[in-house]
Amino acid sequence: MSATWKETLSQLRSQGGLRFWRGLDELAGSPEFRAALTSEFPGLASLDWNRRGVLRAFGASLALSGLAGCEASPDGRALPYIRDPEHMVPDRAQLYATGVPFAGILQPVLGVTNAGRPTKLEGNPDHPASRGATDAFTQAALLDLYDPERSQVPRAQGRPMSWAELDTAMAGRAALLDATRGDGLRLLTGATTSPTLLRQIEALTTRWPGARWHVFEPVDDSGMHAATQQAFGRALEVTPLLDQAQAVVAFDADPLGAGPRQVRDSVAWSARRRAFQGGDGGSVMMVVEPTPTLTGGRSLDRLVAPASRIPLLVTGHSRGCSASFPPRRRCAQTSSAGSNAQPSALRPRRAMAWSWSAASSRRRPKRSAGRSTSGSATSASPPNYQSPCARLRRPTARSTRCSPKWTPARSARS
Amino acid sequence: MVLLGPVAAWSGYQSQVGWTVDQPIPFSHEHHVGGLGIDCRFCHASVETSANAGFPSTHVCMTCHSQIWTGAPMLAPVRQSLAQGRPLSWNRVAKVPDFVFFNHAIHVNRGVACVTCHGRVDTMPLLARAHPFEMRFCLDCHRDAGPRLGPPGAVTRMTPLAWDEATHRRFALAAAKRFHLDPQRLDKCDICHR
Repeated sequence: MSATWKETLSQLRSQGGLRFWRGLDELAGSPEFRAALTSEFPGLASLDWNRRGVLRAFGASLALSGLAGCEASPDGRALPYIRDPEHMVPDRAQLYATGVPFAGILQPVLGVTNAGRPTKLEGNPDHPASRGATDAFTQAALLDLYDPERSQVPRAQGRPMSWAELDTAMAGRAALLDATRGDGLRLLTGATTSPTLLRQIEALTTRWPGARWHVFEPVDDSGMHAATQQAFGRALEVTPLLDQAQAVVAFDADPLGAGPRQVRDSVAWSARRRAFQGGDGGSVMMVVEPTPTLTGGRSLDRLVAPASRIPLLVTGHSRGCSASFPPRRRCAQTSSAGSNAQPSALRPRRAMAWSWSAASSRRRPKRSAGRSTSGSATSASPPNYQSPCARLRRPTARSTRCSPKWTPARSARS
Repeated sequence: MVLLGPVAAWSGYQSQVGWTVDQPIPFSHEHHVGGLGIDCRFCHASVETSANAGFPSTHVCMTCHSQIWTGAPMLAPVRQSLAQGRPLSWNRVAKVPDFVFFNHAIHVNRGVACVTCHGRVDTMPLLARAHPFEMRFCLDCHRDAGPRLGPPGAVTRMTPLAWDEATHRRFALAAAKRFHLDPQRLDKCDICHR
């Protein structure tokens, strides 16, 4: 993008509030802006400008507003291929099963392409985790392909270079780094789970032990990793089995909310919900949270509690549960809870310590209590025992409100 | 001016009927189709499967012209296009406006011959429109397709079918029955203006 164009955009971004809207009008009318815009998009020179069109252009990305394709007089040329691509019918969409990374986690999609141009990302119905669903971020990821601010060539200190120049430069740099064992090389990536990329980076750091790899991701799993590190001794990924959990208690956790795992968790939870509605088992979600989330919106009941009281509530809940029930395997079935974890780690207190210590992070792991599918208590519990949550298993026809303990909109400030 | 208006509209200036269009290479349909007998579908390959008839790629030209006339100066742009990876820039002759959707495949597969709309290209050294691509031209056929339907196998014929009116009618009725062609449905706006 040209320098004047970037200046214009940065000028716009620096304005705020009322000035911003007035600024757009003035900006749109000013000759400098029009000159900058028409130098970037020559076809717009003859267009009739109006404020609405400009606002639309800056409201969405320039790619979405389609400014790049606008022209006042249509093109009467035909530019065929030099070599026709195989299996391509001109106006029939071709679908490719692929994935779109989101904070490092790949979202399965079917890319719909028309004449080689991707026009839509649909979910992949054959993928077990998504069953054809996508979220808003995945849908918007299509625009990443058309982002005009995305560099189309490699750059050296901002200066564009060709791929051949890059190869030459890299070869020279590799020789230097071999001599210094990689000192000074820093690699910056986003979060990634790609096995190929991880393998390549490992090869790179093996060859150049002095090189440093920095990962930046605006919203990442560091909280989860810190928590599991404390609980299980190593950083782990927590996978809630929402399709098996008949009761879910979420303490400031948002599995159904926006994020790279939203589709997977939503699909799983809705499967359990659908099974419950068909009469198979239960599906209870109780949420404790300071601010409204999607998970809270889908919950059976929600307790509003400030974030500072969440640890206390977690401890109290665990004590309540452990006093009533015999010790049993519970908590999220992480990939860790295998041979390496000590038996004491599965006892409620240690597990509560895990979720409690991670309470300071933005995305907190939630605790799901997996219960057996049989309606009555298992053989291990006392015969006359009435679980506080028993009434939740079979909602009445009138409402799904449960025992008086959980009155709606109860604040924990008392 | 008021008097000239209708004249201008009815003349070939607006509809471009009979006006040949210059091309970067003077490709002669008369020579290739009339002289050599190459079928339309050899170059316009997606005419039976797609709404878009398909413009031949440089590769298609070079299937022959890598072997014959390999040094001809007139074909230099084709060779350069292949060598440099730059497409040939042809000028459209049979272009309908952007607000019109024309589906080649359905017409070709129902037996509407190429000559019906594109005229006798085998007599055109340089291509020109044979019929005005006005809405009236399309509606005339959509409302009464009888004289213009033929067997789908003979869709690339250049000469007209030697049928009398009665045979045309009979064939059209049989085709309408077979393909469920209903003039009342073909008259709707949204089949072309989608």
